[in-house]
Amino acid sequence: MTRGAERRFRAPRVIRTARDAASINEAARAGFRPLVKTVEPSDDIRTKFAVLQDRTTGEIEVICDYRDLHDPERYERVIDWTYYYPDTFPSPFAAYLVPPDIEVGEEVLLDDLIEDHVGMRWNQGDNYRLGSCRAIWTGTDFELILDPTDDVIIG
Amino acid sequence: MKFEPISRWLFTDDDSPIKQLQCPMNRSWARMAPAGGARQCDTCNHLVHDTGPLSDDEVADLVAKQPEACLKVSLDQPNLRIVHRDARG
Repeated sequence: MTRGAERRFRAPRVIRTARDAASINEAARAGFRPLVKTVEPSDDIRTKFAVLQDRTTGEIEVICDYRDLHDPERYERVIDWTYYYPDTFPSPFAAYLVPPDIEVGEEVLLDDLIEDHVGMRWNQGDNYRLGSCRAIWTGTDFELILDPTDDVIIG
Repeated sequence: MKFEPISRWLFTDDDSPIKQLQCPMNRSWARMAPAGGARQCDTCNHLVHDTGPLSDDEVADLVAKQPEACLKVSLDQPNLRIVHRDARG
């Protein structure tokens, strides 16, 4: 980051997420107000795979990209293209750990988003979830600042 | 290169990790201003390098020399293969 950017860019406060009861309670004891939500997988989040098996050795290749070409003489497709929900979480609930001094209207960064929103779309039909998101504190919840999605990722 | 969209790790074709693309700000490539062969992020002013025209070695060298460099990956770029967590190979 350049010096000029340091002057212009003020990073929003980061709001952490706790994903199990012990972590939520530990944060509450430390002074945070846990904003508890259910973890609800969205049907929009999905990715695909297919499994090819070497006809001679029995070994398999898992492919995720239609551009992956394999010799049909050598490989049999034992599982055809199949979509599934790819993410896993430690518990069916989670909580944003809201600091006691947060102000209504404050922009923050939710670094581990609980809600399912599509963050990246691939024209092969796969949609990947948004991992983090800027948001505004309304006093009772976070209003997410969602940008249009495409197939580009930056980092 | 290989890219794992769930963990957001970018690998070379021989599975050496290059970088985890984890910008939390979700900035739009289309809205970034061109800056030489890269683009300028208006949030933190980093240069963002397009990996599309680069080789594995060029991207790995870039990150080795500038660990703070930001990268842009498009899932459809020809030099990229998409893999999933248990399917790298």
